[in-house]
Amino acid sequence: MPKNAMLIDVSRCIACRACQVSCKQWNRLPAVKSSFAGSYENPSGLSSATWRHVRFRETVEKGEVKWRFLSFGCMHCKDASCVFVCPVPGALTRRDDGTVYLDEQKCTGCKYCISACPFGVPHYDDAKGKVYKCNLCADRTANGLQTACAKTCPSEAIRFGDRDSLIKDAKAGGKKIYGENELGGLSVMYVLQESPSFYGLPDKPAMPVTTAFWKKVLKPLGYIGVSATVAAIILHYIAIGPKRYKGGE
Amino acid sequence: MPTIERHTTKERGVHAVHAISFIILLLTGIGLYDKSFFGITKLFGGVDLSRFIHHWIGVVFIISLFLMYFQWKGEAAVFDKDDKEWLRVFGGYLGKDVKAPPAGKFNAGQKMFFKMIFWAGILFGITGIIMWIPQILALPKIIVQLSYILHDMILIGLVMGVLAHVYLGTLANPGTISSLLTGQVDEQWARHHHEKWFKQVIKKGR
Ligand code: HEM
Ligand code: SF4
Ligand code: SF4
Repeated sequence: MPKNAMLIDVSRCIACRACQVSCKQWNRLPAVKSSFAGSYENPSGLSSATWRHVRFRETVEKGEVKWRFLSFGCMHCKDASCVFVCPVPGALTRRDDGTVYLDEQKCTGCKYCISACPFGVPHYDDAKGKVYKCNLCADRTANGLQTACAKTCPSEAIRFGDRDSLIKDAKAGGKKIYGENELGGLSVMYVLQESPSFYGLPDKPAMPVTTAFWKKVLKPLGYIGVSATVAAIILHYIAIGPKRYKGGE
Repeated sequence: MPTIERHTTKERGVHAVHAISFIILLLTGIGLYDKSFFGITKLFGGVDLSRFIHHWIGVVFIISLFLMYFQWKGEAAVFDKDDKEWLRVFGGYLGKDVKAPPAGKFNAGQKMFFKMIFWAGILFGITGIIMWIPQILALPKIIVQLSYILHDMILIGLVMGVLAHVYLGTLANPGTISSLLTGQVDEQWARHHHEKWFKQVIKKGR
């Protein structure tokens, strides 16, 4: 099955934020009140009502202002930590087409995925009691449309298409891709101008060790511990037996 | 069979609330521990309701924990030579005819269990609240992640401890359970299991 993917070439981004707006429009997300924090970046980051956000990195180098932009949202990881920890069957799933889909109807709002995501993507909505994130416009792609953000992007910084051909194209242009193999292969990939950490992306994204310990080590240890206790009780009852007292039953 | 009072109605009530809330917390929490237990959430009307019950029974659990702590902390605070010896011989549980030293109202094992329950309960509550409203507390993500680990470590330790506790209070020691059901125990039971306490009660009462 061909995999849906987006390749974002940040050098083409002009920070118009059309992707941010079209995402809100298609997904009917309300505007968020924000305040000026010394940057043109607005709002300050992803939230339950902002699934795509353009990060601004404004630095001064040799007296020259350097502007870097990163249109950011869910990376749709193949080995997705969020899917791994989600306790509700069907609430967070990785689909065959490469989409990591969060089903609002099924999500119970436990927030496990928030702590597990290496990119800080899912956000909790206090009023609705559920978690929200980008679903790669699953309702559009299922009907042969591209994602709203890619469709809107005027400078073709965001391109939507078949994952393999996007990678082939970028490589033909001699470009280095962030996300080709990370976490088994992300469905949202970048061609970056600076190091990933410059943009606030992890250089080597991975499931947090605490998350891995919690569900991969501690959980099975729990089964061992409880089974051993039950076994010890049965053994004690058979081999040693109850403490009876004189005059008792 | 002559009997004496071991626990007042209030003491037994507090223990019952604490024990029942523990079981409800276990049943409403376990559905999130592993997908293979998820079906248990149906017992409580689905996962959303399960979690709602878990959170508020958690509050009941903590309140009853404190009530239990204050009603029994006096007895649990004593720790004498006999208690040390009791621990050394494991209360006589490791052999058929091992004699355990005389105990007060509670034996050394019960006192240790009591203290473990108290501290584990406090940590259960703290980690639970962090898992419940991390968006309001706005703590660093690592604290939330560590809370998941701690909550589950306490869970595992307490389930092991409670299984042993229930076994010792029922099958392993015939005559014990009536102290929770009627509040009364057989005098001979008291003399055998809690000799020092038995003598005190007799001295005071007669
Ligand atoms: C005897 C006491 C308790 C037991 C047996 C228990 C058991 C559990 C279990 C098995 C889980 C799922 C863990 C996992 O997903 O790996 C859980 C989650 C949770 N527990 Fe507890 N717990 C207890 C006390 C508490 C208390 C006192 C609170 C807070 C008031 C609390 C709040 C939570 C929260 C917030 C979660 C996360 C899932 C959710 O939001 O429903 N727990 N608990
Ligand atoms: S970026 Fe985060 S939310 Fe998106 S698929 Fe990966 S782990 Fe899940
Ligand atoms: S908050 Fe929702 S999507 Fe996230 S882990 Fe919990 S149930 Fe799954």
